[in-house]
Amino acid sequence: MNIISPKYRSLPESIEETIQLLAKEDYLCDRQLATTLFLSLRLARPIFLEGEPGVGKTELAKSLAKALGTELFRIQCYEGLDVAQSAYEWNVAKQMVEIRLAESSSDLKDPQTRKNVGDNLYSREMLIERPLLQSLTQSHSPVLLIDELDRADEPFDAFLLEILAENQMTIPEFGLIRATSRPITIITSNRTREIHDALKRRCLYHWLDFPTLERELEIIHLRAPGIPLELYRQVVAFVQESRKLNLYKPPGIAETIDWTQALAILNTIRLSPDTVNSTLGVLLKNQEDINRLQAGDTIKLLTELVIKGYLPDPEKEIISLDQKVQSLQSKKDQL
Amino acid sequence: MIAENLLHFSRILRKAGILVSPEQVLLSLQTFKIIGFNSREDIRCALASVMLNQREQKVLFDIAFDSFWSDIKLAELLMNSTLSSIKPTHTKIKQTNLRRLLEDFSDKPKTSTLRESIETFDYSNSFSAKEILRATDFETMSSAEFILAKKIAETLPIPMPKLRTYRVRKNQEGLINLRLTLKNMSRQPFLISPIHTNLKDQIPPIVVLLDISGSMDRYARLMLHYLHGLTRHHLKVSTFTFGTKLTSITRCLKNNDPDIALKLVEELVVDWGGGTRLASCLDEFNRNWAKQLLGSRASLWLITDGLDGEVTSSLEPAIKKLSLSANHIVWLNPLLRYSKFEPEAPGIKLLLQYVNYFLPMHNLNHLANLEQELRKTRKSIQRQKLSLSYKTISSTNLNY
Repeated sequence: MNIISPKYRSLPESIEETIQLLAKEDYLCDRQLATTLFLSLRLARPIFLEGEPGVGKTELAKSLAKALGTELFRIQCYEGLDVAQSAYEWNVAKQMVEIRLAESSSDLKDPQTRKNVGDNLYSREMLIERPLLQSLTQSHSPVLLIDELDRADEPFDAFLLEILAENQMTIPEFGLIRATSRPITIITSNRTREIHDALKRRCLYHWLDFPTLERELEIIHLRAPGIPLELYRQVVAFVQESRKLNLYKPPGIAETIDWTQALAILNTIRLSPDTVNSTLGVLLKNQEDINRLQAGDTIKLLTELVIKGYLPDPEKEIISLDQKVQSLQSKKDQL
Repeated sequence: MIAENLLHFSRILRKAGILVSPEQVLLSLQTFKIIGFNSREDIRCALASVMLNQREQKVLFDIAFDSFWSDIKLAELLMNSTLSSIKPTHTKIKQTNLRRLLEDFSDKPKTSTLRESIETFDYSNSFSAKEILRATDFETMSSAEFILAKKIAETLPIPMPKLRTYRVRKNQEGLINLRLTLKNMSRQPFLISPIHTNLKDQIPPIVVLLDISGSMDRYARLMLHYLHGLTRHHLKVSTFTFGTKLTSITRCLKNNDPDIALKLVEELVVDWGGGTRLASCLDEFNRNWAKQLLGSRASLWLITDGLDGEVTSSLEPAIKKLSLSANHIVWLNPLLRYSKFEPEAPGIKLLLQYVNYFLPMHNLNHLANLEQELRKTRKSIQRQKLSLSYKTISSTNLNY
C-alpha cells in the first residue's frame, strides 16, 4: 500500500505519450511494448507478459503505477497460494466477538434480532481484504501485478478468470463484488509451465525480449550512473555479445545494471580479462556458464569487442606506448 | 472492408495452426479504431498482441502478416492452398520462410519429399495403414513414412507410471489431515474446518542417455522427436547424447518448435554418426551430472545398441555406480528387432547385469506401450536393488 496519498494522472492518449509517460519514471520501453500497453489501457484488458528473467517485466508494473500516480497491488505467486492469501478471508475472531456481544446485549429469541445478527456476521465489515479484492474496491483504477503466475498451481489460473474478464469477484457467503474502477492488470510469467489458454485469451500477449544495444545503453546510463562513458559501451557490448553464446542463463538487464555498479565500485576504467573474470559472479548466475567464460570465452568476447571497435586494440596500444617511450628516451638523450 | 480483410487474415492464421477466436477478431477490429492506420509496424504489433498467445507463433504470424497485408494475390493463393499451385514468387519473403508457412498450411508432409510421399504413401489416412506404420521398424521405413512416424512420435504420451510421494495435496475426497487442520486453526482459532488431503502422485524425473553413433542413426533421430514431445509435456526430462563425448541437449529440446529444437541439437552435438565410447561417457555422466539429476527417484533411460567400440575395465564400475544412484535403469535397445538376438557381446552381457528393464524400441508400438511395460515389473525392482547393494557391500567387505 502506498502511504503517500497518490496524485492521479490521466491515461495516455497515444503510443508516443505512453512511451513518454514511462520514460519519466526511468523506464525506457520499445514501441512494441508501448503499443501493447496502450491498447491494454484503452481496451481495459490485462497484459500477459512473458520473457526471460531480468528483462523488466515486474519493473513495468511498478513504473506504470508510479507514472499514473495510482496504487500498486502485488501478488507474488508460489506453489500453494490460495484464495485466503490472495483474495479475501473472513475475520472469524471479529465474528465471534459479534456473537458474544449480541448474546449479552439483546434478546436472541426475537426472530428479527436473530436475523439481523445473522446478516451482520457475513457483511462487508467482516471481510479481510487481500490484494485481489483490494484492487477491485479502490476509488481510482490501481495497478494490479500478478507476478510469476507460472509458479502458482493451475487451479489459481481458473480462479483468476472471473476477475480478469468481468472485473468482479463472487464470494459465496456474501455475493458479488463488482469493481468500482477497473484495475490495470499486469500478469508476468517465466514460462516454467504453460498458462492455460482460457486465461491467455482474456489478455493481450506480449513477449518481452532483450533490448537492442542502443536501448540497453540508455537504460544502463539511467539506472547505473557514475562510470566513464567508454566503459558503458564496453559493458553493454560485452553483455550483448555474451547473450549470443547460448548460455544456460543469459544475463538480463537487471544483471547488467548490477555488473555496471560493481565495476563502478572497483574503479574500473576499461574491461580486461582479469576484471571481467573476477566479477563474473555478478553477471552470470550459473556455475557452468562462469566456468565456460573463464575457460576462454571471455577473451573471445573481448577480442570481438576489439574487432567491433568498442575496445582499443591492445597490440596497437603497445606499439604506441613503445613509440612514446622511444620518443621520451630520445628527448632524454637530447637533454 | 477492414472487417472482411481481418476475417480472411484470421482464417489464414487458423490454417497455419494459430487458433484465433471470433472474440479476438472482434477485439482486433477495435484495435484498428484505437491505433489508426498510420503505421504498419504499430498495426502488426497490435494485431500480434491481440491474436497470439505464444512466443513461437510470432514467426508464422510475421510471415502471414507480411504476405497478407502487402500482396493480396499471394494471400488468395494461401487461402486456397493446394501446394502444387503455389510458386513462391514473392520477393520480400525468404524462400525458406515461405516454404515453412506453406508446409504448415497443408496437412501433408514436407515439400522436399512430397512427390515421393504421393507415389509411395497414398494410404496415409486410412486406419489400418496407421496400424501398419506403427508396427514397422524405423530402419525399414521409407522416408515419407519416417517423416510421418516422427510426427506421431512427438505426440506419444508420457511413458512413466506415476509414483506415490509422501507429499500431500488438498483434496475434498481425501482423509482429514490433522496437522494442516491445526495449522489452519492458528489463523482462525475459533473455527474448526477440517482439511482433507491425500498423497500426491507424481511422475518421476526422467534422465535419458541417447546413443548417436553411426549404428544408431535412424533410431536416434526418431528418438529425438519422441524426447522432444516428452520434454514439452513433462517438465523433468533431461536428455544427453553420447557418441565419443557426452552432450547435454535438454535446453535445445525445451524449444516448443520441433524444427528449431532439432536444429539447435544438430548445431550443438559434434559427434553425430561416429563411434561409441560408452564407458567414458557414463563415467563423465557419473562425475558431472548424476548427483544433481538422479535424486528424487529418477528413472534413467539408456538408449543404445550396446555395441561399444572398446570394452574397457572402467565400464563395470561406471554402470554399477549408475545403477546405484538411479531409481532404475531402462535399456531401450534396437537390436531386439532381431528375434534371435542373444546377448553375446561382452559389453552387452555386462550391462544387462545392472539394468532393470531391457525393452525393444524399434517401432512406434513399442514406444506407445512403454508405460505398460514399465508398470509391469516395478515391484521387483526394489528387491533387485536391495540385493545388488547388499552384494556390493559384501564384496567390498571381502576385499578389505
